[in-house]
Amino acid sequence: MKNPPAISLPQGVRDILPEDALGIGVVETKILAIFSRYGFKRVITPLLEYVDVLSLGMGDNLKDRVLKFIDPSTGRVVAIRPDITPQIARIAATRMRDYPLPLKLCYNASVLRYHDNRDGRRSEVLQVGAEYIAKESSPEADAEMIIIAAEALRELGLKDFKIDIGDVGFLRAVFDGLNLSEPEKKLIKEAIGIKDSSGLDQIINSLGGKIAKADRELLLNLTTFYGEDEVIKKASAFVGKSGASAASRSLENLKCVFSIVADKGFKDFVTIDLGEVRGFDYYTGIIFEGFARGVGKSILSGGRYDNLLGKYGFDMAATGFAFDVENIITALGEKPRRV
Amino acid sequence: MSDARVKKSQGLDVLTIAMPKGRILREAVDLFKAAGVDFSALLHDDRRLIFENPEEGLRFMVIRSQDVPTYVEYGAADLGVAGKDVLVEQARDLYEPLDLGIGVCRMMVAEPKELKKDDNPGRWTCIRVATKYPNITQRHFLEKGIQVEIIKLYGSIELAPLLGLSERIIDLVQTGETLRKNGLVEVEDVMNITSRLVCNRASLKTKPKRVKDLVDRLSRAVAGRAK
Repeated sequence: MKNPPAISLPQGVRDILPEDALGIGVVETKILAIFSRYGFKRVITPLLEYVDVLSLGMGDNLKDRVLKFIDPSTGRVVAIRPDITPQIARIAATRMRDYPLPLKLCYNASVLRYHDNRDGRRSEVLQVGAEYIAKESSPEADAEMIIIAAEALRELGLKDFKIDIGDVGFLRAVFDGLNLSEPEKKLIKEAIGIKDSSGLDQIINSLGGKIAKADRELLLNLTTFYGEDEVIKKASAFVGKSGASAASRSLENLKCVFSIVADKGFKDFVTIDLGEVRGFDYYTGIIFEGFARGVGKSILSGGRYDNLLGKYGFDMAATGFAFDVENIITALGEKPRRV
Repeated sequence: MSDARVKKSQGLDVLTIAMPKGRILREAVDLFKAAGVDFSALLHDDRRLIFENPEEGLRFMVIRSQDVPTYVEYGAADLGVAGKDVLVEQARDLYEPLDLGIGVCRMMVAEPKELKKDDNPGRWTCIRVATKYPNITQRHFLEKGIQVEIIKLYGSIELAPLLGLSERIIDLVQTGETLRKNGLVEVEDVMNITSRLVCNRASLKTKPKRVKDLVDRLSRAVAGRAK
C-alpha cells in the first residue's frame, strides 16, 4: 500500500468542527448582542495590513509575534493582524472622522499571534471585542467597558469569574516620580510584574538612597496590593492626600470606576491589582482582565489607551477590550472544584 | 478534627500545590510545617504522589521539578515550588511571590583545572558548553558576544569535559565537591539560585485571599528560619 500524502496543518492553527463551532457561534452571538445593546456598531477589518502602519499601534510584547512577509507586487512588508485595535484606530482616524462621538465600535474576528510554538500553543485566537473612542477619557467609559464584560460573562452562564482591574496610569505616575535610569526602572517593573517581593527588596536596597523613603515603601508594597477594593485605600495612604499628584488623581479615578461598577451590582466580581504592569508601554490608564475559576489563562483583557489614536493622527481618548472566545468556552465547561 | 474546623473547611476551595521531587521536597516540608501546614506524609511513602489536607483546603502533589512551572502556568496546580534555575530556563508566565530561601546553590561556568591555567574568559569568541540549561547558556554568552555551541545533557554534566564532549559546562554547585572530584574549577558566575513559591495568574486573581494568606504564613516561616 502506498503511503498517503502528508495532509497536515501548520502549528498553532486548528479546524473547528460543527460540534465546537456551534458553541463558539452561540458565545459570539450573545456577546455581540450585548455590545449592540450598549450602542456598539460592528466593523470588519482586513486580514492583512502594512507592518509599518500596524506597528504604530502595537505594544512591544506584540511586535515580536507578528507573522510578516513581503508583498510580491509592491515589495512592502505586510502582516497578518495580531490585534484588531490598531486596525480600528486606523479606520477611526482615516475614515470615520465625521461620525458623531463617542465612536463605539465592535468586532468579531481572529488574530494571529506567532509563538515559537514548541508547546503547540494556539497562534490563532478568536476574539470578540469593543473599542470606545471619545474626545476625553472618563471613568464612566472605563466603567462601562468593565460592566459590559461582567454582564456578558454572567449572561453566558459563568458564575465564578473575576474582573481584575489594574491601573497603568497610577504606576506610570509613580515611576515618573522616581529619580532613576530607565534600566533601573525596568528591573523594578519586572520584579513587580511577577510579584517578586524578595527580588524587589534586593533591587531597591542595591539602589540605596536614590529612592526616597516614601517611594520605597510604596514600591515594596506594590507586590501585595492585590485583592478587594481596600487595596485602593491602602495605596492612597502612601501617595498622600494632597490630591495634587498624578498618582493620587489616578487612584481617585480608579475609586470612581470601581464605585460605578459596584453600583451596578458587580462588586463581588471585581478585584483590584495595583501591581499589574502588563502592557505598561501601551496602555495609559485603567487596565482589566477577566479570569474564570479553573481556567489558567485570562478570558478577556483590555484597558485604556489614550495615546494610540494620536499616532494615527486622530487625537482621541479610547478604551477597549476583547474576549478570548475559546478560553470562555473552556471556562463554561469547567465545574467548580470543591473539597 | 474539631467541629469548628470541619465547618471552616466546608465550601473552601482546594488550592493545589505542586512540589518538586527530591532534595527540595524535604526542605519544603519543613518550611510548610513552620507555616502550619503539614504534608510530611508525602516524604514517608515514595509511591504516594498526592496528599490532601482538607482542614486547610490544600492538596499537595509531587512531580518532577522541571514540570512544576508547566503545571502551574496551565492552572493544573494553583501554586508550586520551583528552583530559580528552572524558572529562568523556561521563562513561563507565572507570579513568583516569595523566595523560600531553600535549595540554595549557584549556577556557574566551570572548566578543567589544566585549561584554566592560561585561559582568559575575556578572550572567548566561540566555545562549546555542556549543560542542562540551553536557554540560560545561550543568553549568558550571547549577551557578551560569545558564540556558543550547546551540548544539551540531562545529567552528570561534570563528565562532559573529562570525556571531551565539551571544554566547559554550565551547572549548579552547592559545595563544589563534585567539581573538585572531577578536576573542574569555576571560571564565571551565572546566577544565584533558590527555590521560589510560584503562582498561577488566574489563581491569584480568583482566590486572592487564600493565596495571600498562604504567602503571608510562608513568608513569616522564611523570616523565622533566617533568624
